[in-house]
Amino acid sequence: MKSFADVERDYIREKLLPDFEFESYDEPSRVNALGRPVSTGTVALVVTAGAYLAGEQERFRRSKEGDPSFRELPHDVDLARIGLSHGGYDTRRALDDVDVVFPLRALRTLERSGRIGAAAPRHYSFMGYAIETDVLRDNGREVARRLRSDAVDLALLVPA
Amino acid sequence: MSLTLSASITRRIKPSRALLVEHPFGLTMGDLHDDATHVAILDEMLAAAERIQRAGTLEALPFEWTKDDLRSRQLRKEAS
Repeated sequence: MKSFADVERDYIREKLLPDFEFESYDEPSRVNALGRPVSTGTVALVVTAGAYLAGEQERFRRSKEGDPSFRELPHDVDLARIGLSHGGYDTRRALDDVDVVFPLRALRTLERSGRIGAAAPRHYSFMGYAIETDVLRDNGREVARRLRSDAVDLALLVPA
Repeated sequence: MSLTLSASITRRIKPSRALLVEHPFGLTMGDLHDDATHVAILDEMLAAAERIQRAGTLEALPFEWTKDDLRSRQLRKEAS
C-alpha cells in the first residue's frame, strides 16, 4: 500500500510537475532545548495555512510552482481580517473559523490561563506548497531571525 | 515544535520533534469552533516541547476525526 507521501507525489507529478519529488533528509534537525519552562516563555505560531491580512497583504500565489514567501501577522489581529490562499485544501471551510489552521484564539486562551508566559507580538504564515526550496529556506531563516529578535522561546509549527 | 497531518511526509523531512494528529487537511486543530480541541492540541505541543529530547521523535496524538470520511477521501486525493 502506498504511503500518503507517495500518493501526493504521484498526484503532483500527474497534475503539475512531472519530475516532482519531496525534499528529504538523512538526519533529523537538532533539538534546541527550551531555556525556560513554557509557563514563563514566549511562544509564536508559524503556520503553512496561506494566511494573510486581507486587503493589506498580497494573497499567496497559486501556480504550479507554488509560493515560497511568508506573511507576518500581529498577535492582536482581528481573526476576521485573516484571508487564506492555498491550493491544497478547502480554504472556504476554514474561513468560517480560521483557528482551525491558524490557532491564534487557542494561543490567546493559553496565554490568559498562564499556561504560557506570553504570546509573541508577531506570528508567521507560509503557504504549504513551494517548489523553490532554496528561496523557502532563505525565508525560513529570515522568519527565525525575526523570532529571535522578538525573544521567542518556542515556535509552534502548524500545517494545513 | 512541529505538528503534522502526515507521518510519511514528516519521516522524509525529519523535524527535530513532531506530533501527528490525524485530522483532515484544512481542519488541523479539529472541527470548526471546537475550541476545547484546538486548545488541547496546542497544550500537547507545549508539553511535548518540554518533554521530548531525542531529535527526530514523531509521536501520535490520541485525537480522532469521527465526524465523516473527509480525511480518508483526502488521503486518496478524492477531496480537498
